[in-house]
Amino acid sequence: MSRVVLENLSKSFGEVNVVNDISLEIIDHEFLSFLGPSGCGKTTTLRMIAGFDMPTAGEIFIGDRLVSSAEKKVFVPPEDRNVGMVFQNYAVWPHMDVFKNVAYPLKISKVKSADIRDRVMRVLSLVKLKGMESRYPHQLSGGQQQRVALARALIMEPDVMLLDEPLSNLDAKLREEMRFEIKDIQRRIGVTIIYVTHDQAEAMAMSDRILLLHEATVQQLGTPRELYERPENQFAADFIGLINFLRIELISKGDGLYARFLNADDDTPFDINYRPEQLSPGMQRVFAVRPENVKLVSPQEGHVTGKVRKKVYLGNILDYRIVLGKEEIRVEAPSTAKYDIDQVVGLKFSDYVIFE
Amino acid sequence: MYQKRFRADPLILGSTFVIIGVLIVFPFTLLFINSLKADGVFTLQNYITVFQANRNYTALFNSLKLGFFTSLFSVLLGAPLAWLVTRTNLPFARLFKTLFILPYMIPPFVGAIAWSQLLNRRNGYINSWAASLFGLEGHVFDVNTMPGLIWVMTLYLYPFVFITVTGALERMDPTLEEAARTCGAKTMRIMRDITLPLVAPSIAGGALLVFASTIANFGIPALIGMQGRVYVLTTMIYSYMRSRGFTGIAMASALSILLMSISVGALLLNNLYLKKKQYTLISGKSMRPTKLDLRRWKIPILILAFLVVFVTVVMPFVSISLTSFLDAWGAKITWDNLTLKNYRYILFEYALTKDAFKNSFLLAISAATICMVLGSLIAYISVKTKIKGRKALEAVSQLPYAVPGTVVAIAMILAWSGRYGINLYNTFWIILLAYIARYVAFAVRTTSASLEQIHPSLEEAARISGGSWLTSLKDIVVPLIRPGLVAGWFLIFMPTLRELTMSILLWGPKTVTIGVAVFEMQEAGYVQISAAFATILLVIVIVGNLFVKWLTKGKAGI
Repeated sequence: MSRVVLENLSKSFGEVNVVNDISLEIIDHEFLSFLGPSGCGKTTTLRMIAGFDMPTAGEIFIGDRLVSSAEKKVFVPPEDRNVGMVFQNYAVWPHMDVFKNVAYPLKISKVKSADIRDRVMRVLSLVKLKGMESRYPHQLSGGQQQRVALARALIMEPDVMLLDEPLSNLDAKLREEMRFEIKDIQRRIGVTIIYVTHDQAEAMAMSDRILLLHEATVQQLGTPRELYERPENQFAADFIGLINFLRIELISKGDGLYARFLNADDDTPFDINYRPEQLSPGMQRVFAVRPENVKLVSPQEGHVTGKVRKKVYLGNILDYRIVLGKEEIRVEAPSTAKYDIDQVVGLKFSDYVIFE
Repeated sequence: MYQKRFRADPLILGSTFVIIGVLIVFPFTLLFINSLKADGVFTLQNYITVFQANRNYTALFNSLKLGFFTSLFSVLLGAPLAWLVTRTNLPFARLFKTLFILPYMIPPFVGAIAWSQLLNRRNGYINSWAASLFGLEGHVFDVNTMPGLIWVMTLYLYPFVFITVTGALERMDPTLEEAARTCGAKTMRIMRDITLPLVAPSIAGGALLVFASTIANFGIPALIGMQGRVYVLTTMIYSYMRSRGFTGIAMASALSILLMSISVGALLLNNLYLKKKQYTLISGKSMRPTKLDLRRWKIPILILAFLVVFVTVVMPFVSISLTSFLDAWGAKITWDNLTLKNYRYILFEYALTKDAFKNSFLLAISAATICMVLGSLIAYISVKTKIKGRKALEAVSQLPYAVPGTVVAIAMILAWSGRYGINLYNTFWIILLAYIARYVAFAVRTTSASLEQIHPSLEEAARISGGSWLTSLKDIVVPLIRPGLVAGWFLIFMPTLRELTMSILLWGPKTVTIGVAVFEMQEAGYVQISAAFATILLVIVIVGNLFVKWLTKGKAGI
């Protein structure tokens, strides 16, 4: 088990930058996810760590070993990096049964066959595949093939495990189950995991930290809570969870800093309490607030007023759309809320963030 | 008010079944019955007689031997070449991919003519050249032997292995190999443990195709083997038919059934067993596999690859075209000995050539057109309707292509030489029927592939809009599958234009075809004339293939 360090890592194909200057330290035992939409560079970064792609610039360390450096012309091939990898389509060999698939890394490193048997059985019981040793891949379900791929990566006791969207081919229920299992296995054996996904819920549920990528560059690095509660830019806020964006103008009123909505009918200023050192009167900014952080109150009590346009009953909550002039805001209210369509309501904001 | 209208579909669809019955089921049933009949009674006598004759044993044994060794050498040649062009950094890999399947385009009997010019005992170019170089007396090579047959056969059939293995390697999911790499395996180890086992079924499939085609081939064993008295099943059947006679045809039928069982057996083995083992190796992501760096072997291997192209394509082509300009065959190649008279002779003077061109073009055009109409109907029935027996209809339509051409010809002779009221023997029509029966399989395959792309709702929408079945066919289905139809037409036109195997058994005084004319002139010893004819044929084939490739944007043709 080891840490992984990326230093100013870049990769370009011709003119196109696929990965742009990523620096990161993944600490020992950590579960870190590369999260982002397709084409953000997450898979390429993973493949560079595995050794399938060569960086155009920058360095990669696994443990204390330099495995890839464009500048120093160092490149350790994948087979000598001691990383385990689980592929999106599992890549379970169709001509070998479960036992042979899982035992393959040990066979390569010439482990004695009695030891092989022991270790294969141990890892198969870890991934709950005991008794399936002599099945062939075509006799297994997608979830079971996934477990074979996992076992094959685990058995080599790798310094780090790389998982490339391993759950994206499974159905929703199985996906959720496997999430917890992978997390559980990691907790038990303490392996360092780098996990690539485009599914924010998956990343939130499993990761110690998330590296959010977009258009080849790092958007934010932090714990799931940090990403959700303190997004550092509009992309991060939008990619994870639901959020409303409203344009505001900052004004000074008396001793404090106030804001008013630019596209709303009700432009009553309300006081702003957010990183005052970055804000000054006259600035135009984007006000971002999650639906659950807006409270519907009586028109007198709210920061601003709006009119109910639509409400949808979703069981645990009521999903409201409130019109504020030219813009609309989404509000999650308790299902007991009694506001009706066309009613004028007050909106009270908490835990908002402000972006440029 | 319910209006009773004329409905075309039952009539047209129903008649398709009848046509296939008459065209295919009837002759093949007769062939089977005939092989079991001697002197008007059902008996196994024919088979017993066949096995009592030593020469039949030898022919059977030779066929199997030829098939086995051709398959073996085709694998040894085709599989490594496939690996070279898909998995290494061999320069010009894309060009080589085309060049290595080029021999597939050359009609096998033309290849046979070329190699008998190059390697015949008396004055083969290579033999004379070797003799003068090393000051040898006599010959080095003799093509008219079993090894000679295997050599020529391999050069023309190895593309089957090359094509199937290239396909398998290209479709193979690269992560299967990458996974082995993360497990610590080096390139050679991955080849042995992962790549080779995964493409093994495709290699075996290609080998079986080569085997079936070798057994079914007539041109090469006829032009190369018969001269050296090396008979195989197809040439044995041919010589039985030559002797005409009643016993001749009975023996030919029995041998045909034998020949058919072997080649159909090989194809069934491929379809039932190997196709299932051909793992689905396609991945969602299309990532390029890592290519092996040949390093210092790059240049030697490149030279070797060019050598393969030189031997399989350049040498035969040069030999044939050179011979076609020779005044006297066997004399030294000097300016004085070069002439255009062979071309003048076949193009303007010799009546047989004109007949051959006229007949072959007429046959190929009619066969291609009729096959497309019939084949589209069969494909339509099989893909788009729920008519009972549609799968059987499709299967029967594929049968004559799975069977050696020689067998199809024998079946046609049995059915249409007057014994059952209709005598088409020695006419244009019996050849046409044979061509249609054999090549309708192509039409069915290309059309059903295009038909499967058309969602039923497109046709249903036309019906809802008030169109009849025929209208929806004309306005919706046919325009949508037109590219497939055109490609299919040429895929039938090209091979029928140069067909030899069936024509040689079916031609009559007025129905000589291009294949037959070239064959007969070569057999009669008019070497330069047949070379000139073969050169023209090669030009037609190459131009035709380029045209088909252009027409289908590279999807059809080789």
